[in-house]
Parts: sequence; structure tokens; C-alpha cells
Amino acid sequence: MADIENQSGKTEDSLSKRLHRRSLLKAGAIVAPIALTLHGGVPLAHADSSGSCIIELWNIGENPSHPNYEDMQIPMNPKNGHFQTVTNGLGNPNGGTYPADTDWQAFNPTNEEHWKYIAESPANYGYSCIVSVTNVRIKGNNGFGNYDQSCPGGSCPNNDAENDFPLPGNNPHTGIPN
Amino acid sequence: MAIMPSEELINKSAVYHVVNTADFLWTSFEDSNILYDPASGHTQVLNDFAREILDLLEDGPKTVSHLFSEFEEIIEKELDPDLKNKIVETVINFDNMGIIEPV
Amino acid sequence: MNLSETNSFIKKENQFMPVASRFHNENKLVKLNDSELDKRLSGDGIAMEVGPFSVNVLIKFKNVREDFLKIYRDFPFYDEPIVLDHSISVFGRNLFRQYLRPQAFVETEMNNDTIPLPAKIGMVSLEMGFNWQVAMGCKQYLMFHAGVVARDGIGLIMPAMSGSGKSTLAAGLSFRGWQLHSDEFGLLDLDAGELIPYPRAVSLKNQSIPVMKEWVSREHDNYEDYFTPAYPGTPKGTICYLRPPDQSIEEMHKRTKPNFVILPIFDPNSEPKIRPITKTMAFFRLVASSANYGDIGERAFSSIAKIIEESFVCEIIYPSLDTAVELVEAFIAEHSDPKKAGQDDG
Repeated sequence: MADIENQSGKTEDSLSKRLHRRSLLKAGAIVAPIALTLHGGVPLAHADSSGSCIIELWNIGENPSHPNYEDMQIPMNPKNGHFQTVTNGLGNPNGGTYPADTDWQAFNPTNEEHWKYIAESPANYGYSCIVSVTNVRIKGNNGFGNYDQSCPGGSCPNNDAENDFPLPGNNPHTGIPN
Repeated sequence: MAIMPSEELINKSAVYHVVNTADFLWTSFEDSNILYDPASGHTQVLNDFAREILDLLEDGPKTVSHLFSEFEEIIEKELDPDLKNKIVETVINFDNMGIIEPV
Repeated sequence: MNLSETNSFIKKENQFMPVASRFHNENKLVKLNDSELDKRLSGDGIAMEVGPFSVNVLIKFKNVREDFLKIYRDFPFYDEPIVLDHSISVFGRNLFRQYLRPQAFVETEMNNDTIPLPAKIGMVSLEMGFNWQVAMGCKQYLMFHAGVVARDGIGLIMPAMSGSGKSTLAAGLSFRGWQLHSDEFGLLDLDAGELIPYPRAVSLKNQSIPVMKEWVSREHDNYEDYFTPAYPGTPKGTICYLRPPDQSIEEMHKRTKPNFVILPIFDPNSEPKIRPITKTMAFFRLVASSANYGDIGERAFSSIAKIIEESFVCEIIYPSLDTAVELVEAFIAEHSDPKKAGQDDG
């Protein structure tokens, strides 16, 4: 019977197991000791500072060649220099339309109005990055088993969720192309 | 038989003890003894031989030489150098795992 | 949260069952037709329950809403505000991406870095987002990368790597009378030691798509209604989603204790066989398949040890879905005598 034993109290069961073990050793049934780490206790989420997402936004804003650069468009009102809101669609920019004269600007991390848009508009992207101080950013990991960071213990091969999309290049753990 | 490298790597006069047995969790199946150490979050797997080494260290702090002597009493014969090296490697492993340390 | 402390029970067929979702409220569930669901999905979103989680779903692409409804139209929905576990949105990031060369971006509010996908395969983005939310946010349940099914007090966990066919096998069993918990995420209640159903869309890839269509067609003339369109051109090849059987959706709050662990290995060139494995090996495989074992720690260790101690374990090697189901049924039948519980098959 495999009980969970807490080490602080040796049970009769554990003593009898020990006797049995010693008899096996004496009989030469076990030739060498083996001790391995099955799991290193690494949690799945490696939490960075919540400020790192702000740093990431800044990096994108300053790097026009960044793949997400063109996605970060800020709708600005050309008349008053503030960010634009939608004219309909229940106040949700994804469900409504912006006025025809909206000035779509590339995100400029030195423009306070741009940061205000990210923080205050109902737009989803970037919103939780700033307003939630308890938000954690998973360090570069964009999915289960994408091999862009260590997996807990030896679970990498078993963490390849089937809806996952591997990064280009080779798996850094095995060298096999993704 | 020549002394294998492992035995040279360890300080034979160092006294080892188990760090903190109180919170270790154990379970076992067949011949494997599986240890969860809450202090490190590690899960270690030991066969019966390695488990006995740990048990001996739990009984009281010991040097590697003491471990050799106690094993020879258990198996009622002299340990060959190969087996001594394997015991030393296991002690080094335990130290690296954080479940024992030199006193 | 200890279930016994919540006093939350639902009465179904004169049996009381503890609710899986902490905030489940039978009185607030609504039954809406596709048109009504579509309107809500495209507006502010609508809250849906999948097993223990409630999630607000918002989808701004019509084709994605159609595919979503194919799978989830019969799931429990709430038409008024409830406490949510998650919120997910699929939309175009700007006007260009919404209407011209539309790209579906998924926002999980959990700092996902998923790349936008063409809107025509936006359903894949949505399912990835669901996976992300559970994978990253679930610390209250022990999670296995496994297919999990249940039937008549039998809880079967099938931990396996991607490509082993576990999704196909879990789906195949579910269309032969087993309750589908999940083809991907096994969830264990650490307090009660029970498997918690999480019956989402089954993800099928490449060759498994025609296999499952044929399998479902044996029992259902309208089998095409269970499948979304196929989405070719993903990095994993062609993906298609399968709706869980109706009974699995109805029973999404019915839990079972695990007592079988079977490791499936698909090999089209093999002879079907049941291979004994040691409990040690089964323990290793469960730990290795658990994505949040390290996060949960001590309780995860104790729970997995208990599962293995109380389960029959084996490996099955199979060349086809038919043989896989036969092997599973044979192993279960051989060991279903309660007096044999806890005996090692290794």
C-alpha cells in the first residue's frame, strides 16, 4: 500500500519497508543507487513585472520594423489633439466606426495622448497591461509548448497543446525543426 | 582496482546530514521511492538503494566513510570500489538536490 | 474553495450534484436561438459556461460566430451579468484588419502574445484563446494534458503527447456512450479528488478528421452538424472542430473520481495490444503531463500519488480508432470488479 508519508513520524509501515529494502540489498537484488529529479518545481508562468508590458509597448512604438508596429494605430481627433472615440456601436470601437476625418497615427511612446488611449479607451489591446498592477506577463511564452521557454520538469513534449502554433526555427530543446 | 574519480571528488571527512525531514512527502510504488520536498518544490525519485542511503543519513549525520561501513554491515560483505563510487555520486546528487548538506 | 462550504447544489433528476462552476446559477440560465446568440456575441458578448468556468465571449466576425454556434449553441448561457472567470474577444485590431484582408486578433485579457490569424480561420484563434486562459489561469485545479472520459463511476485519464491520438480516442469514446470531460485538459478537484468535466470543442487534425466523421456518421445521420468547416493552412496542417455529444454537454457538471490511467500510443503499423506498465511509470507520466504541477506543488504530488494508488494502469498500442476503443473497453471490463481496486497490472 503506497501511503503518503510525512517524514516527521516514522511509521511501522516505513520501518518494515526499510527492513525489506535491506534484505534486498543484502541479496544483491539492487546493484546501484539511483536518484533522479522527476520535476524541478518550475511553475508554468514565469511572472515578470507588470511593467514589462509597458516596456514592450514602448519597444514596439520606437521600432517601425517591429512586426506589430503597423497594428498599433491610435485614432486621433485632428481638431483637438485628443484621441478619438467611436460614433456608434455601443461605445465599443470594435463594434462601431470612427468619424471619417479620424487621423490614424502610429503609436508614439512619447505622446501622452497615445498612452491615454491605450489606458482609457474600451479597446481591448493594451488595456489590461496598464490598468491592472497585478497582471503578470508570461515571459515570451505565447502558448503551451511553444518551446520559447522552459517547461516545468520534463513536460515540454507533453505540453504541446494541439491548438498551438510553434515558433519558426528549431526546438531549442531537441534541435528538431518546429 | 583503481580508485574511480567520484571518490576523489568528495571530501571524505565532511559530515552530511539531511536538511529538513519534517516536511518531506513520500510515496512509493514497486521499487521506486518518490520524494516531494516542499522547500524546493522538487520531486525526486530514488530506488531502494538510494533510499537506504538517505535513511542512514536521517538516522544521524555521517561522513561518506561511515556510510561505507554501515552498508558493509547491511550487506555483510566488503563494498567494491565501483559501488563506493556510486554511493559517493548519490551523496553528491543529494547535495545538489538540496536534501542533504554538509554540517 | 471547498465545495461543501458553498452550499451550492443543483437538483437534477432527483439527485443533488455539487456544481462545478463556483458561480453557477440555474435560475439565470437562458435558452436563446441562433439569431439572439449572434446578436449578443457581436455586441457586448455573452457569458457561457463550460464545465467549471464561465467566460464572456465576444466575436466581431460573422463567419467565426457561425462556427462558434455550431459547437456551442447548446451550452449554458447567461443573459445577465454574472461573475466571470474569463473574458475573450475576437476582433480586428483596426478598421483595416476588421474589413480589408481581415485578421482575427484574440484578446484573452491575460497578456497573450498570440499572432493574429486570417479571419477565415478565426475559430482557431478563439480556441487557442480558450486554451490559453485555462492553461495560464488555472491554479485551483490540477491540470493534465490528457484526454479524459467517464462512465458509470469509471474515470479514465489518458495522458499523452500531441500526435498520440488522444483527442481522437477521447472523442471516439464519447460517441460510444462515454461522457466527454475533455480531449485536451483533464482537471482534478484537489479537495474532492474528482475529475471535473470541461467539454469544449474537440480539436481534430489532418487524418483524424475523416476518421471522426466516419465514426460519428455510424450513430448520427446528421453527422456533418457536429463539425465546423475544416481550416487548412495552419502550421499544424488542417484543423477541424467537433462538437461534444449532447449528453456530454448536458452532464458537464457531473464529476467522477479517477480510477483508470491508460497511456495511448497510436501506431498505424502495429498489432493492437495492451501492455502492462508499472505504477511508477504511470506516476511519472501523470506528473510530466501536468502543466501546473509545479505551481500547485505539494497538493499536486499527493493527488497524483492517490490517483495512481487507486487506479488500474496500462498502455495501449493501436493502429485504428476501432481497435483503440476495443482495447480500452477490454481493459476496463477486466478490472471493473471493485474488489480488484488498487491492484497493480504491471
